[in-house]
Amino acid sequence: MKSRAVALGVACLLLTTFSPTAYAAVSDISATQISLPIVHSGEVPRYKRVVALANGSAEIVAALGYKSILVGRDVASTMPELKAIPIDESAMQVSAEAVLGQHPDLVLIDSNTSPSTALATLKAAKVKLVMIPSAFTLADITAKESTIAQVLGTPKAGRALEAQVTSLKAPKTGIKVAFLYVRGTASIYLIGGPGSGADSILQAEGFTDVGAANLKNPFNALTAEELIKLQPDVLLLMTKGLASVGGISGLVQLPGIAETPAGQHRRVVTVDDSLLLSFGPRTIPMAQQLRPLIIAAAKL
Amino acid sequence: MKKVAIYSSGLILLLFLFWLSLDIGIVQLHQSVLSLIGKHNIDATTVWQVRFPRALGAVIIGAGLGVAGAVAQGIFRNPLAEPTLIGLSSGATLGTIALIASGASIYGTRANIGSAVLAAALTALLVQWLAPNKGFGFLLTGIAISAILTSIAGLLISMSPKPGIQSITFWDFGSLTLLNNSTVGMIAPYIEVGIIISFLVSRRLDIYSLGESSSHYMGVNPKRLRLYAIIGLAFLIGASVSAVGSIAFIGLLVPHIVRLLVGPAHRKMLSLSALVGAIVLLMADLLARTLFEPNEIPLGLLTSLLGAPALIVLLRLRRASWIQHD
Repeated sequence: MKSRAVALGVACLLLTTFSPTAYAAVSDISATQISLPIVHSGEVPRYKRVVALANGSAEIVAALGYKSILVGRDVASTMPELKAIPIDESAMQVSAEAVLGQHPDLVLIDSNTSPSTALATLKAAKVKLVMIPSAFTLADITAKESTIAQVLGTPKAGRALEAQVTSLKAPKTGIKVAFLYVRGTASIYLIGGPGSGADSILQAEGFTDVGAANLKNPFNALTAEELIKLQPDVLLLMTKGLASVGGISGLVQLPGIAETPAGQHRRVVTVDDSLLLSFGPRTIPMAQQLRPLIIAAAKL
Repeated sequence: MKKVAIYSSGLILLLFLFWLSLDIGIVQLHQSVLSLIGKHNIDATTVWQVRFPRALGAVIIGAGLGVAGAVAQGIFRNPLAEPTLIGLSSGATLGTIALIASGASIYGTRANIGSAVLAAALTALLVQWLAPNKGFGFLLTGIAISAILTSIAGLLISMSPKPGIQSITFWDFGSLTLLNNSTVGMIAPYIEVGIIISFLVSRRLDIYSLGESSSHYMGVNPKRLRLYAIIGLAFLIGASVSAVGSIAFIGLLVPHIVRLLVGPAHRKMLSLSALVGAIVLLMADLLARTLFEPNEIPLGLLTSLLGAPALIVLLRLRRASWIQHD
């Protein structure tokens, strides 16, 4: 009798602890929801074994239609389509041995690829290294895509991919959105400002990024007063970021959130952490899906 | 007469700082604070939901820390016996963090405050039990236990993925950012209980300051007195640490200022320590959030940066009678 009561108690406790209701109200775009747009130009690339270490470059090579030549990738290119390709980095650090083991004829790097000693080793081993520009906003995507297409010798595929970026334009909505970068477990609480990256997406989709309009830095300390001043209608977060503060019920406990229209009506939209600021071929389909979610959230 | 002057100027200063705390910040108010009573606009929300609980919390916690410092220095008969030095604060920190990390409770709940109070009391008793009864044994044992508990708290934080556990910087340096009307309402009764207990033991603390054997002859049981004082301290420190982390130097500095003003009698000292503690913390928090607006400085950094030199000046200006006593 007693053990049954205990079991019942434990079951109740488990149910309340793992109840999914805390997360149910949030619209989310997960990585699996956005498939990589792939172009088919019929061109034959110059290289046969490519290791893509530049942030997000593996994704672009695949989108150009050449997934088959990829033999190694960076940690940021995480979408399911590339799962089979080995990652040649650990903790954001390139492993020279792992790269050499793939016998690449081309390695794509960017200014953030580190450590320099690993790159020196690759150079000494006569591996061809090509520097790719980084993309931190919507406007940077085309330059990054066209550079990779040129290096591969497939300009037609490059142009087809770039055409998707220029097609993005949406009418203004008047909805005020704030992008919050939070990592509750590391006590990082920031509001996106001008140059956060999210501002370029929000503006292209017809929203007002209140952080970008009123703050100074790309990322600013999240304080109660700052949020109250901005009065966002909707909050945009990364999926794991929201989970790290305990979901939406934890989010509204952060100072100032409950005092904004977004917090009062629990209007929150999340996007997968590796997707939101990836600025590659998946950005356009992601941004197109984001627009109706934010508009729907604003009506909550 | 002097007493009236001290108290009334202190109260005026406190009221002025309180008004200033409501009036200034990132959001520029369009009307006066008084005209915002009962209103529901952005200015009113800022003042009543953000600034008011923060200022009120600073007053309550500052008063608690001032009283705690005076009681701790009295009961351990040591001018250095600050709650953060003798293990009470780190005990409270660990008590709070352990509960959050275990998932049993989140920040800002009664369970959380309760476990901080309990852990603070247990830590003080542990330090007492372990300390050799000579020289600086007590303080050094307190410092050692503090270091151990802070390390365990830091380990728990780095291992736990629980939301709301905050960073070790928050717990170690303190911050009033997380105070809202409900947290202030929750910790206030605990701090009041702590202050009441402190006042109840204040007369016996005076007798106790004459020495353990003399106090015994005068009808004060030192062991029992110490237990009561530790319970009072645990309420004061536990409740404030569970909400704002440990704030250094107020408990050390305030009683030294107060002794210069009204002398070493505990009852007088406690009430003025509460007032001065409230003023110092309110001022420190005002500076912490406005000095480098919109970024906030960790509060404990500021209290140490301003409090430590002030203490040195105080000690040099007039060798406090307290120190000659010992």
